Amino acid sequence: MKRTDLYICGFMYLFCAFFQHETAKFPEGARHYPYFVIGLLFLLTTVRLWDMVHQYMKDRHVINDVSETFKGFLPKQFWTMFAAFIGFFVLMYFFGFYLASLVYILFCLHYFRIPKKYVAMVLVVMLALTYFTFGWFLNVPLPKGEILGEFL
Amino acid sequence: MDANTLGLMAAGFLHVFSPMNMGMMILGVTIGIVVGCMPGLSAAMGVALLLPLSFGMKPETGLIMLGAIYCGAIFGGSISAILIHTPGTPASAATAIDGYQLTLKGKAGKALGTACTASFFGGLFSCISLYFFAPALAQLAMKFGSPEYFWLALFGLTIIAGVTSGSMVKGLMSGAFGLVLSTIGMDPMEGVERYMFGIDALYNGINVTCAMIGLFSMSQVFILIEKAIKERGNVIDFEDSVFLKAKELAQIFPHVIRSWLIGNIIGILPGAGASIACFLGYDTAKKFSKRKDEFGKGSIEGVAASEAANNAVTGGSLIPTLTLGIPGESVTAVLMGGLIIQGLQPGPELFTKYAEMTYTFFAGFVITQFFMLLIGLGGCRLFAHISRLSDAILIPCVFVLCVVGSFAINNSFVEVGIMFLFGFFGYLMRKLDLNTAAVVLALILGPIGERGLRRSLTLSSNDISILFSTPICWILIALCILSSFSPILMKVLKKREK
Repeated sequence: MKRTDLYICGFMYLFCAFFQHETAKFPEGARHYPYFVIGLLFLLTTVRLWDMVHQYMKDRHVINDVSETFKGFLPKQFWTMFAAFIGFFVLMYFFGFYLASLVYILFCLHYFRIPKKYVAMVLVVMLALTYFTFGWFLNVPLPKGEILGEFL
Repeated sequence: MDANTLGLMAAGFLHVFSPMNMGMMILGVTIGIVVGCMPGLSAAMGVALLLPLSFGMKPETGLIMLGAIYCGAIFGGSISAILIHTPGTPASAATAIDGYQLTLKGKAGKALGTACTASFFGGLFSCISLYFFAPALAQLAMKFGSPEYFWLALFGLTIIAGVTSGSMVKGLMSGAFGLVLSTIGMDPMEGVERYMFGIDALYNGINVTCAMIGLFSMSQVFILIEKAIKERGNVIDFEDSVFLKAKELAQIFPHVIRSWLIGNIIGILPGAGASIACFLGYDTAKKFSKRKDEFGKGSIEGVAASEAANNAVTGGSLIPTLTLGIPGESVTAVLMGGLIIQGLQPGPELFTKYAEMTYTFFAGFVITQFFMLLIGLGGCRLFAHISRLSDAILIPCVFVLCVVGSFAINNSFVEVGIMFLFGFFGYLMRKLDLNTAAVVLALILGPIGERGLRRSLTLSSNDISILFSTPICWILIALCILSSFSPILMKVLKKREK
């Protein structure tokens, strides 16, 4: 029995419980199909759990595979990048897409210690690519930002 | 094949030679090869990432571009497999065996030329089945009513069991998880809001394109940022020619034909994919070759067999996708998303109402193979250097493209949020051996199955026997059972063999 599989089963049961709770608020006719698919997920999760319990009864051992699953995981790098993603969204909302992209790409490449000549190349290529493809060719009004948009 | 179909085929070739279509083929193949040759990126990821580009195009042009990316990426994987012993995509894993040995012997040009030529023939021949089987299967689909569509969707979902490489139950759980998510949005029969939590953007359900960009592309960004950035192996400069001599062409041709048949059948069978085809093609070539001892030590026959097989999958896999709406693997699921975005539903209508568009796409698929050959042979030295591009550069570039691509769908931040959420879920699912392709399949097939089931029950005043009323229903039920238990059957057969 693997520890990660236990977490998966736990998550799936919680997921089923939440959707079941929400479905109960629907009128009678709209409940049947959601109940059917939630029931299916519940059943499959139980089959998996049954399999795991059966395995546990055999060897009486829970394998802690979390460290194996996340082997080589660099928490500092991962969460810094994750924060950068969130930062990008915030910047994009207030200052628009292009400024957010500029700051974000600069930050990432600096963080990964990419030589300056490549930084400039990536910036030019990415901004030109998004401008010509999305702004010019597809006519997508990319976000100008709540603050910067006031001045543009 | 009747005169009308022949006329449509000819018209397809006339339409495909427009400057826009040609331009998109060249662009698609180039992008595809670049995506394929970079070990951090996959074909499904590339197609998902560039799906939003097809929004502003005519349906046939958009599909031609996506098809070109697909073909290019499958071939592109062989470049890094041959030069740096790292397959760009899983479809080129078998190519790395002999391709890299040829590189070590100073014959990298020969290996790349063989891979490109075999990919060209594999892809080109796979179009034959596309032309012959797709319309026939679409005619069968014309007989489908609501009950048949319910079983068809269920059959598509049971394929997940076969697709899953690890635990079958975990694969099916992923599918059921996707099915629950597919119920988000307005109820199609009762007009009730389901799990929308006041977000109007969820009225039509979770946008499949956003989910695909998240599950295939954004999740890959998370995979790349969690570990130390890897240094790519050095590309060996090669001086030998990429062009094959007539004798070498004659040597590889029987293997190309055999691999084409293998790859094509695997492509048509939903659930199997290019990664399986390349090994089957390679193994079969080894069995039939007169130079068995060269295999594993640098055989052009091995490279050709693997590459012809994986590219032969492309045309074959489009058949169930376009005719029945069953994408057998992740790349075709994304391509089907592209079709749906254009307001088209896979099925018989593609061969009746939209036949002109479909045959133009088919013709584009044929011409794409020629561009792949030209661009592949001409640019492999350049692509070899691109394949060394650091993950540190890929991370911000792919992330920005994910954001701008998902925003472009409805010009809304909600879609960006959904993409990011699915990206994180996709990352965790991949780490925990759950199946992201199953979630996508469920998101696409869930609404089709729901409509089929509920319409059937409404028509029959809730009499469930309507679901078992026609021979097609029974055939589909049998396929569902066979598909669900196929992994168990395979295990039993393997045990017996031992």
